[in-house]
Amino acid sequence: MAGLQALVQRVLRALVWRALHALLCPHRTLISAPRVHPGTWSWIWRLPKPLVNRGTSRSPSPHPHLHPHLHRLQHRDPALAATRPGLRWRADRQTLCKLPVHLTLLITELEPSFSDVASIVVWCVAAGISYISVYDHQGIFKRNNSRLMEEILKRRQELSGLDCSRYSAELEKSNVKDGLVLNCRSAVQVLSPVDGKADVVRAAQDFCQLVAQQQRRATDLNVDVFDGLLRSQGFPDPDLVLKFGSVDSTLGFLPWQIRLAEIISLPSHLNLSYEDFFSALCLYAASEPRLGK
Amino acid sequence: ASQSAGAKRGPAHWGDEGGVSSRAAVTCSSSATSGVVEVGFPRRLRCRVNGETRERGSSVRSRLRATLRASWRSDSKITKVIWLVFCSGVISDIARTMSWIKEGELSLWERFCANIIKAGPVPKHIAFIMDGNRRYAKKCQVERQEGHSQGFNKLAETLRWCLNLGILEVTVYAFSIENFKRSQSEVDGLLDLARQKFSCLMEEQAVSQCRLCPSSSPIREKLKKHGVCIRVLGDLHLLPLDLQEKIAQAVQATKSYNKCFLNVCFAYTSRHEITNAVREMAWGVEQGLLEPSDVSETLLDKCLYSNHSPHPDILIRTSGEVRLSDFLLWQQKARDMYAEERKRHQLERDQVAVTEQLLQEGLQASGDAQLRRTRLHRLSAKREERVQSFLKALELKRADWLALLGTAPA
Repeated sequence: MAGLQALVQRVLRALVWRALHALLCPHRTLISAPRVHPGTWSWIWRLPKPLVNRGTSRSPSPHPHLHPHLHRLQHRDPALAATRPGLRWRADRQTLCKLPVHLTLLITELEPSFSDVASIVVWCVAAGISYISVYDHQGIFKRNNSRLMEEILKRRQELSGLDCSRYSAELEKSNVKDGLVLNCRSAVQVLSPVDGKADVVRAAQDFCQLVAQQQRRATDLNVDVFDGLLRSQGFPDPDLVLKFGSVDSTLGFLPWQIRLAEIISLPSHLNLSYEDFFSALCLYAASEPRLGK
Repeated sequence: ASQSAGAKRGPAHWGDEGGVSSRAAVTCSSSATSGVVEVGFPRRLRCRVNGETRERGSSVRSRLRATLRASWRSDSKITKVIWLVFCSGVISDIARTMSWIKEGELSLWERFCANIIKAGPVPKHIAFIMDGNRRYAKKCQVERQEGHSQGFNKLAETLRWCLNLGILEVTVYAFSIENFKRSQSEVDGLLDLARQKFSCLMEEQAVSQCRLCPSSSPIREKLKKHGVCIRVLGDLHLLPLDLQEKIAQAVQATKSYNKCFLNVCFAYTSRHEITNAVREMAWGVEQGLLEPSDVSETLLDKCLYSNHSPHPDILIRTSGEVRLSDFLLWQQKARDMYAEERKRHQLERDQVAVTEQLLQEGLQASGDAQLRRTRLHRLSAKREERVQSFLKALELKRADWLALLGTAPA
């Protein structure tokens, strides 16, 4: 009798759990649909605040994890927004008290869009960010590196309000492997998981090789020495990681280097509007790293 | 599915921002064992008291309340003041002797919700960055040390929830190496509270609230009852020697328990953990236990402080910050897209090594396929053997160091 009761209770609990799951799933599908069919579902982005930003509309400051574009959900064509980009971006740049030195675009979505990523990179350059990385855990961008670089150059030429005619439009691969120096001020690189853990393992092997040859001792190794052994291509550690997609993980992105990076999540990089991007930069500007103190 | 760091708001805990605290306090008599007192105390005490409303039905509590009411009715103002001071000392002492795992069953509604959650997938390992103690203390207008102490109490409650939900492994970020940059008084306060908490574990006479056992039971017995194994991860040699000894004793005392695991990261940063793992591998090479080519991602994993734990399923950071702050950077869970590629690279290197070997022996490099296969197999078997003996030696080295500390005279 007691066994039957326990069984009934277990079944009931499982049913309630499944019912809750079923309730949540349509909501999730609705929100995640833009990733799959950006064209047909783009009207979702125009929905009023409460549906898209559940539970956060009352918070005094926008929550960095959830949608940072709380206040301005306008669906705008990036090209349209950029008709007079030079003036606009200069003005916007001045309102930011703090800019990241190295910004990373971490794409967790399964099908990235080269043109959208290129637009975001160009906005970063316009905002005055010196180092930009693009990462996806499948290595799609790394394998199609040249295609991405061409898209970036094309995009930059389209949004010619940047006054980029002063700068060289050639692909410079001299000092940045799999990368591009867009102008004297900004450099772009493409990363994949091999640049993360695999690079740490390679550095460890190199050090152990030196120890085996008795050129170094094990006790010589400390955090700074090991940092020096890693390949950084001259890029500093990321200050800001813009994570696109619904996967709540950094998916193996540069584990050593992101110790102090702010990780701001955005729902999708597809058709990302300039306002949303700028809101993320504002959120970063408002952050206060205490560095343990 | 894992959740992003910094997404969760919550009350203050001890950890990256916080820590542990101590206050010079009146040591009170043993009658003060429970914490809820609902009288008109100033706001700062009420803040602390509200955090302990979970304790219900204790007879000691009602006795304390009656005593306080009686004293309050006394005419003399001086008596009132003395009682206020005494009671504030009592309450702070209660807060400080709180156990590592808060006893007490969940309410009916909480049990109902917990059972529903347990019907679905439940993470096996959660990591907490307990942030915001000082901001909490500022909000409640209490001292920072009090914020840290409250943070520890909340940790105890959280551990209880995890146990109830069947989450058997919890890692907490208690004290970062970066926190040594704080003011000397704050660091001393944090380390003092750590001393107190680790000593609590070993004390036979330590008193704790336990609804299940009417008489007070030592914390050590409670840990035994729940089978909690406490591990402390970090560069412990950076801590004062007496604290190291207390930690070693606590770890030794609970190392045989295996029902659930609590990993406390103390004097820890992820970069130091990774560097230490590489240093250990270099030590292995120095001792002749390893070849440089044996170094791999799997071996590095096994040399970390957290080598006995699986990678966390969820990382929760309280207070709304969205950084990892050098916590468990290596232990991210991500589908390994490159495992096959790594195996292929390893096989290629082995092929090259076998070719060299055969050439050195004067044999045809591309000759007998059977011979090549045998040699390859022998190479990887030898490598496996080296790795296993190195890991055993490392384990022994760490255990010996802990045992030595643990048995040192206090």
